[in-house]
Amino acid sequence: MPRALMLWMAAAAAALAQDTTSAPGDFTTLHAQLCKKEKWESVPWKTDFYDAQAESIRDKKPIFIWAMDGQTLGCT
Amino acid sequence: MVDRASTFTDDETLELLRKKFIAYAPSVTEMLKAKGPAGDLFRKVVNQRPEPAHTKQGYYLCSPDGTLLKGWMYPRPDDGTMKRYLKEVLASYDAPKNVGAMDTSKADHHAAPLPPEGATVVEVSAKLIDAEWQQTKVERLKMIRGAIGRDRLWITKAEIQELLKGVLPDSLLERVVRYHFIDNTRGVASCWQPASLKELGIQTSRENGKLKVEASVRLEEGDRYFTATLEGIIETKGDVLSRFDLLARGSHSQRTMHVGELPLGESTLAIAFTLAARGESAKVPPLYSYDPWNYLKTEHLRVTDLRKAAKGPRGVEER
Repeated sequence: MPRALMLWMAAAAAALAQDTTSAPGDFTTLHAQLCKKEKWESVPWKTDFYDAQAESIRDKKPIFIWAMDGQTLGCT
Repeated sequence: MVDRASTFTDDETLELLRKKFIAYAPSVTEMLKAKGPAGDLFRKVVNQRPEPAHTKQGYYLCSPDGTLLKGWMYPRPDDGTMKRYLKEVLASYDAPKNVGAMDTSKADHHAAPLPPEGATVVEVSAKLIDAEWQQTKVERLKMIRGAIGRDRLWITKAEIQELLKGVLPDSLLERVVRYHFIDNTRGVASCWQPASLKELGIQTSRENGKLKVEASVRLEEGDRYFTATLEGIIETKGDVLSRFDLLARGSHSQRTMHVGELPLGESTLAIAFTLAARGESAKVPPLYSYDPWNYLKTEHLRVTDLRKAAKGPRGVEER
């Protein structure tokens, strides 16, 4: 991880800790734990079929559809 | 949720999806109803899959002309089937020629609602941080007990104007509590009805453009309750909402099972809010945005009634 990003994250965590009434680090740790991106979110998922189909034509790649009830990338 | 915890934790599968495919993830419910070319093409693809007959949920590999290359739903959790299918399709894929892009002027925005003009999108993440479970040998149940439920919150332009003045609007607080204080970690959960918000105590203070929020709520409806605190910071810079870091946590209990399994007794549910990054993530609609009239309601709010009742003789909110 680039040093600048690490420093920024540490500064952000410290600022957040000072802003809340929770025990030091508690709010920050839990908030960061919940908001942290998961592996499945590393895929550049598209939300619009028009975009996906146009990009598939342009890049000559097949389309992978992951389709669930609710919102597949949100509450599902 | 099972997919997120199983199939989509495999590095090779994720690399294939990132590099070799165009990955698209819609709401199957909405796309089956969608009008226009995208709905037609989606139905053409999914209707080519014969099994399972009871649902169109699942996975599809197709070419841009709508030809189904593979379609499946099971096994869940995945046993390597997905990676095998991805490789098989890649090995034989011959991109069709003379396929035109769909006409976007006929897009059906009801199928993929966009935030109201000028709105800001917030990511909402929920997790059971302390829960006791019945013993089970069912792997797909065990693997999502620690899952993080994701949703989005919309903050309207009018609400941002209030936040710029250092005021937390009732409509925003009501939306946060009723639609996002839910346990969606193992599937879709019901929102709270207005009368289910039994108690609300809130204090806000403003300093250097930062609005500090401390609140407590009690929600109760049938055999479900959530008693929680809410705290955090909302910050504005110029006329922009630059930070929305809130965290709710408290005791949650539910006895009726709507989806998946339920923890035994009371569990600790935590819900975090933070601004969504620009791009595709911000285009995912909140679950309850399919009912925009209620989701974006600004009048006759339960929060307004409770905040008025909480004001003491000096006209300030008391906890």
